[in-house]
Amino acid sequence: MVLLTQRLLRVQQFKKLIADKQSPMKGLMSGKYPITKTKQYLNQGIVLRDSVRIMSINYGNYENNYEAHSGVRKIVELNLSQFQHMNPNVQVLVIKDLTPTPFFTFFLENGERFYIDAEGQDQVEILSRIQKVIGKPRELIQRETSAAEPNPANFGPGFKAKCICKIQGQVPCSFTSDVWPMQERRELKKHLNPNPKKYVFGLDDEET
Amino acid sequence: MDKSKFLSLTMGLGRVVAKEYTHRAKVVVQLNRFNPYLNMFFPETETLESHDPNDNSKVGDIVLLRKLDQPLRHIETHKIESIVFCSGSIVDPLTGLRVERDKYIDIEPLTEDDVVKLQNEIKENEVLERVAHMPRKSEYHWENNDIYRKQK
Repeated sequence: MVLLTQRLLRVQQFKKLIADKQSPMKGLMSGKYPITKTKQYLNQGIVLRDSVRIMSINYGNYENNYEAHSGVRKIVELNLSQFQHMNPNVQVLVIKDLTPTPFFTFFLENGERFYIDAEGQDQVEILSRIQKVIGKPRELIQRETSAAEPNPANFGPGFKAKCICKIQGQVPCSFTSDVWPMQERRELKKHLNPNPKKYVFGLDDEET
Repeated sequence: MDKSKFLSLTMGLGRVVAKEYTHRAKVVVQLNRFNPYLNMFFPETETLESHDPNDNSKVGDIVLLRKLDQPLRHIETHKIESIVFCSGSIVDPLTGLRVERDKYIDIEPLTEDDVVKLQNEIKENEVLERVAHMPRKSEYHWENNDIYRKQK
């Protein structure tokens, strides 16, 4: 009985070790800031306007003024992949050790370009400024992604009205033999307005 | 990455690498490619032959490219619109001064004596604060004459 209990204990310890080491993302969550490699994080990036073609970041690692570039250094580490994921048609560049102060440049389709200064500023301050200046507002994105409403004037097998006779203001159906007589149809034509822009009671709409 | 993605770029920023023929420059352009297994972007470069109408550029410049409707001389698909950073005399666009990596060339940096002088000038031109916010040092208010005078 003593040997059996020792064996059972060893088996239980071995099973515990396996259960602790197993994780969902076994080989992928490695390296610095693995959360930047998830799609949920990448989809939370800033969407730039349609006229932007190139975005370039200038900064440097100098001993002289190290802390002034720290905000931009964090953006390059954490947020650059977000920009590229949400704007696949924009060229995102990084230029290092060229100028003493950090700044962003945006090149537009007209040929114009403008700069955003980022010296001594925080990571979140810079991102909120970019969203204000050149970022797409949320309403515009929703308007573009939502599908257009179907035309209510369409009729047929896939739509609401199967036949044009179901629509208000039309003549009843001629599929059956009980066709609407011709005299009653002529009375309808008297009240027909061939020029609907003009008011019936005398006002002309063209002058207003 | 497909070369068609580089050739169909309407606008691009690149670096001049070689200049063998007149009015023609080899420009290196960098784009990021997405790896769907790692969810990461990796840079990939490609050289483009571009047309230089003014023949101003030289090796090491950073240059803005724009696509041409039809390729010139059978090879040149893009043209150089403007030079952004000219090698040898890099200009900081925010200040307009020439720059070398860490310091400004046209301006001398301030010495410590100048900095102290400027700080003192700021203090002299400061507006007096309200007296009510200041605490009294002694119990008798007629002894606190220094509060009602400008601080030196």
